[in-house]
Amino acid sequence: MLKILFFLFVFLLAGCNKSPSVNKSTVPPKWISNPSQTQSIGSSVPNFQGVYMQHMNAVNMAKSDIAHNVKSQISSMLQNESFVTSNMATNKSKDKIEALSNVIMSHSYQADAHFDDDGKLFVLLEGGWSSVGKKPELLHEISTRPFDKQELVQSRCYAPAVLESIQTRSSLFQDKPVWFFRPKSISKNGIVGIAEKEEKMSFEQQKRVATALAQAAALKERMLQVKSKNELLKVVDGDVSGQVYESFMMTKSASTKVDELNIIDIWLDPKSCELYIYGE
Amino acid sequence: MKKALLVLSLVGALALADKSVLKTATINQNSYPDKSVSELQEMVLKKAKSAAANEIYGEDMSSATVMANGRVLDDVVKKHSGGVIRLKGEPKYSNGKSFGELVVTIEAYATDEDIKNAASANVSEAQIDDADSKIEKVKRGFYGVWGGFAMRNDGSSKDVKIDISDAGEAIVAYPLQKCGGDLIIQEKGISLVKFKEKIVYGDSGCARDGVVWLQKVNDTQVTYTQFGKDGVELSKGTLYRE
Repeated sequence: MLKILFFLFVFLLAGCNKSPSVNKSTVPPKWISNPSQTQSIGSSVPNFQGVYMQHMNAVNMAKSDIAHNVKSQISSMLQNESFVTSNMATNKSKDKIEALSNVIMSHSYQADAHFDDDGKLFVLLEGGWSSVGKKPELLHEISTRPFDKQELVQSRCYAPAVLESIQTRSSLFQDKPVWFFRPKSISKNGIVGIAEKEEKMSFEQQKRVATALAQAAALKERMLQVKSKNELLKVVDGDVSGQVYESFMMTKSASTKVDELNIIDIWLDPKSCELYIYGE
Repeated sequence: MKKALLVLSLVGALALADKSVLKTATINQNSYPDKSVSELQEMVLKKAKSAAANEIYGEDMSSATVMANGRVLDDVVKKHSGGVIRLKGEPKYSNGKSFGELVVTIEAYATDEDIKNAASANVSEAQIDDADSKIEKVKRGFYGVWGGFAMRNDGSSKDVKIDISDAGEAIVAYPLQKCGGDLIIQEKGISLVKFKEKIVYGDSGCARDGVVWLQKVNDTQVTYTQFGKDGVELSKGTLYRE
């Protein structure tokens, strides 16, 4: 009986997903601390909704930033109150600054991206207006590793036959295909769609969602209305002070005909089972 | 002249001809172990018809997103491909090259009338229902008057009243202790807000220079936690929107 249990234990261990042993610590690119005038950076910490949401948060943050660089209506309100009580003078002030932006953004695209050691995603956006027709900035070299099919087959995201059918051509950087970071490096119209795996979802369904999200991303790159509002409130109450920053944003694309996506590459994250589609 | 008319009428007839496409779709039966053959045939046929519709009518797509404080609140992608798809003959089913693959080939078409009807149909943009109110909800998340009781770490209780105005000013009152003051905002997230507490009236029974956290439970309920200067938790309780 013990022998059977032992073999069962060994069998279960053998089936466990082996995490790829990759040194994730990489030198952050220079653009994170020093973007050029035609670039904008958005960032987002990891969240339970997966890389799709994390990426969208970062991209939208960068777009809001571009929108405010192009056109922003600023209003400021300062309230100050000083009063003297029996033995001391007190000062209370409130300073509220609002920046409103409403622009149509065209030809903005992701030039690069990077995960820091804590998993925070930084996205570098180029374009908008001023950079149209300009040569993109040179990007730093990245060290990659080849895609390992075994990592995927062991993942149990789908039946082995389905996993075997996924042929990823790209090499990996920070455990993701290079085109996730630099979608324009292979094709100038390159675009990425990411779909999380939901319960009872088939591979084909997940692929359809990822494809549609890639098409939507292409649509947003071409033309997007960005309405954004940033608010900064500074409060001083005698010797205590505080400030709070809030940002709100709405984006909307036009309803237009979309071309069928020509899928260039595909990758399934063996850890999260999120499906990445790269097309043009 | 007759020849010219004949050529013109032929060109005209071609321009008005039905649009027809040949489509092949594949499905892997291994991905649907619980489906019967007829169900799989229906699924793959639907896929082929959808592909035919996309080619004949094209696809319209639109997208909208709402974001607050660096977090996506809602994201909608709308895809629309319109129109009637008609089949010429019967769908042809066969096995694919790989194991478990089911393939269907169809000849689909749409009449000129179908295409005209689809083009005149209104395609609306992606809309996020009450996007403004979603943002407003985040903005006003903590605004309002909150009241309730908190347990102090010595086992006694105290009543707490917090009033956060639309303008972002916040005051706190501890009626039983007859003291209160201002709350000065330090950090605000969607579900957590942190204040520094400045007691401006009342006797020495009130803890001074503390920190107050309000953690959202739902729209009508927050958890109140008060910390002392050294970060030690002094009291905790639940406040309700009044």
